[in-house]
Amino acid sequence: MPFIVIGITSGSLYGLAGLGLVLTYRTSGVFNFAHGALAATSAYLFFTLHVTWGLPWPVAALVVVAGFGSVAGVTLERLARGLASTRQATIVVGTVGLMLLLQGALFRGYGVERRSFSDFLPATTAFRISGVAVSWSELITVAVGVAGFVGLFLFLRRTRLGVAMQAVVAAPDLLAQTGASPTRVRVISWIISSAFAAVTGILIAPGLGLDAVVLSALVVQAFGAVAIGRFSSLPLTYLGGLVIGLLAAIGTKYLSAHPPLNGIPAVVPFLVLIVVMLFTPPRLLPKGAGRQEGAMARVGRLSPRLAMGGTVLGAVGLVALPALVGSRLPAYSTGLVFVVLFLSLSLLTRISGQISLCHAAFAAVGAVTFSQLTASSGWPWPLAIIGAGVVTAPVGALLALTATRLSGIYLALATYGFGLLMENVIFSTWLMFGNHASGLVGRRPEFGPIHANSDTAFYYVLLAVVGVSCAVLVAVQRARLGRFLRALADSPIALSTMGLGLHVTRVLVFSLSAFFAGVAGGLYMSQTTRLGAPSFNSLNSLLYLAVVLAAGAFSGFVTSAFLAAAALVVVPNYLTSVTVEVQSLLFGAAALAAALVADGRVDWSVVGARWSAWAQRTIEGSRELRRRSPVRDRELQAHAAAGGAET
Amino acid sequence: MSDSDDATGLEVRGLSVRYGGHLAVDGVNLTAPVGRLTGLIGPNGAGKTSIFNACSGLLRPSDGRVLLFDEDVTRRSPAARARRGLGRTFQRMELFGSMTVAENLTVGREAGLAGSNPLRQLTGGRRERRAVRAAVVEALEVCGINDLADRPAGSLSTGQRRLVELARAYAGDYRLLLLDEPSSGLDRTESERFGQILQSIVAERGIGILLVEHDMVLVMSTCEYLFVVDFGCLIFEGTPAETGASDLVRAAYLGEEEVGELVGSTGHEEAGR
Repeated sequence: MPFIVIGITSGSLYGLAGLGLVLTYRTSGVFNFAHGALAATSAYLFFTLHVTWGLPWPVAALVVVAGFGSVAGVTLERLARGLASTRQATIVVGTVGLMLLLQGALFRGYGVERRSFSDFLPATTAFRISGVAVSWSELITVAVGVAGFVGLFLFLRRTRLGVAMQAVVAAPDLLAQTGASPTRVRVISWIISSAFAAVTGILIAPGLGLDAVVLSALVVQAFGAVAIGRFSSLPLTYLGGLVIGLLAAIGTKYLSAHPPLNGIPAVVPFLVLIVVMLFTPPRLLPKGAGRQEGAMARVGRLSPRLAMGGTVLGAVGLVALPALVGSRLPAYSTGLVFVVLFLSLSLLTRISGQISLCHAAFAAVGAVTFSQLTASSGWPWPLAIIGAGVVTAPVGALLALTATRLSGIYLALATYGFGLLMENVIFSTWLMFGNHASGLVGRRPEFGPIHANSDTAFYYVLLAVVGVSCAVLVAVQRARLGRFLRALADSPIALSTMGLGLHVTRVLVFSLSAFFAGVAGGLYMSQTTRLGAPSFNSLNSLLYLAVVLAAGAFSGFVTSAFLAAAALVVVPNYLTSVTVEVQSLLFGAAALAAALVADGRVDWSVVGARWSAWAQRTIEGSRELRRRSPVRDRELQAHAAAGGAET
Repeated sequence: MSDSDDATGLEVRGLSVRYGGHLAVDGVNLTAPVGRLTGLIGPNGAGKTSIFNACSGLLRPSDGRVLLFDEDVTRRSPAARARRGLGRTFQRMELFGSMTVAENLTVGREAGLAGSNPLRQLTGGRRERRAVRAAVVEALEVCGINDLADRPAGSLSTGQRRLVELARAYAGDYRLLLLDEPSSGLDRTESERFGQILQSIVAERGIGILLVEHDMVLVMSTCEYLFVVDFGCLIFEGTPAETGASDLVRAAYLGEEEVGELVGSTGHEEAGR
């Protein structure tokens, strides 16, 4: 029975982390994806204080939990307050950005390699239950978990501040009228939550080792606990943590010898999460903060002539590129691949108001399909690329069907869970990457006698695919479906009372998005010629959403895909001194900043309209021209009026 | 049900809505036939919007039935009801803020045409496109908002938005409209104009309208028949004149002076009878 002891020990910690998540989600409406990253940061700080500086562990723990907990709590409350009034997708991106930022900082400060971290609590046997030794360390861990839970429970029930904390969930304005400050109450809840995360991180690190990614993924375990508590009940959340811990321990014991099932213990929390969400009516789940409605802040649209000019200029630049960049061309080719991926993600998030945190998994399906079709089945390249999309589309449809009633944070979590499920269970099977350590092979195209093997030739092939993808997606946007998608983002309720079958619309958009993600996956395989499962891990999905939303904050649909691809792929190729770790830090910061600034604070539609007006005046210049074209002038006024009214 | 005449319109039988332990709507019966402007009035919190949400399918009633053109739609989705001819507006307006007024109206028409058919959601045929455009032009015309067609809906004033929401419902070609407080936030002249538009829609299209409204001037001058609810129960039904004369309704909702002013002599005569 030793695995039961292990299960209860770790489950107790998952429960503790889950309690912190629920507490802040309920008081501020912001679901903190960075909760695990807080735990990781605490563990590293504790390591520095205890191991490097040699402080006794109780002192070090106290400093980290109280000190870091308070600082993080106060900071997070500020961030949450800033995010709460934005769109739901933006809130997700904001906390995901924070997570990437913290991970990047830890990588930078402590290096990427996992460090072993010996147990600081006494590992000697405390007592035995039916022959199983329970160590002091395990006993203390469980005791801390129980104490945290009971303490929080009593605090909420018995103290004035705790009651105020319950009140802030129900009616913050009413609470404000009683003289208590909702902000202060929220600060306290964030401090408690951060302190719990710190405790979890410190206690769990000796078992897992110091690894920023692994420790951040702790939040995944907490998600399951939170789901069992239906995002609101503290006792059920703590219990949920224990259940998750036990299931994972049992799973590890019985499944570890049976690949691919040995991936299941890692995704137990998400299996639980998905099951709970499938069988819980959405009205029973608490509403998070954030506007549900509202497509991305409208970017002032350029006049048709300017837009056309920009497009032509951009196209000419892209065609001339191989002559200009020399040996850096492959980076640009990969950039083009990501343009397709980001267009597909943008269609979901920017146009339709949906969220996907599993785009890397979609791309992986496409990549594998492409590789199989070209290598094993000998399909011609163009058919294999389309095949990659066609095979991926039903995966998107399936996801849309299962998550059809979910929106906002719940959709985000369900898609993230789906991505993790794919990564941990399906990727390693024969269906996908199998156990090829070096990955699968991707071919370059041959058109009859013409081989596009060279980087330059293949660049043009990619450019053509990007062009077609842009054209198709822009056409879809302008067609009837595009109107429905924007309407879906603005007000799903109104749309459903008009007779539109929203399930079908969502299945359509997820299929379409998955199709292009699959195509992008195939292209990626073909561009790099060899890719393995690690290129498609779930962390990438988070990164993609962050980059797309950050770029989308100040540019149009197509432009933002190019910008995002440039930022993610091309620019780092030039800044070789900037390591991958720093990239995570930079992108995290950018996503967080974009989430805080772009959506709501700065009205980019006004900036866009002004810029557009300015450009118009400069280019078209003379008054004569304007007199000849009164229509355009009126358009300009309408833009200005629209922008002005939106502020 | 013997004569399946369209004139039956919307019929609500014994409708109850329960929120947890609270019975918000308790056994309400009402009918809104086509070709008539029917009013549903009552104090705040009486359950009017709950009745509306149950009618349009956003809320599952705990008891009772909703019949639409003689068909039981109690278990149908909101979209299915809309495709059978039931349109609605919202008290808190649900416009597509990022789209222009014309696009809002276009979606209003296309949503019903597309329904749950994936191909028709993707795009419509040439003939359908022409029909949609015609419906949009007509709706803009009827509601007098031609000049707003290319403005983003999110940038409009409340009065304009109310008209756009009405126009969007009109473009949808429904046979029955549920309007939830369409004149709240409008000034007197705007609301008068709104009343005229409603009457002309009913007269010309022959559709039915069920109107929830607090503006008694608008209700008394436009509606032909009224239902009054209080605490979730139907407490009165009758013509505006009868309603204004009812002591029960006055006590529950209208109050003294306002009624005298609105219904004028007719009301007092009826009361005297």
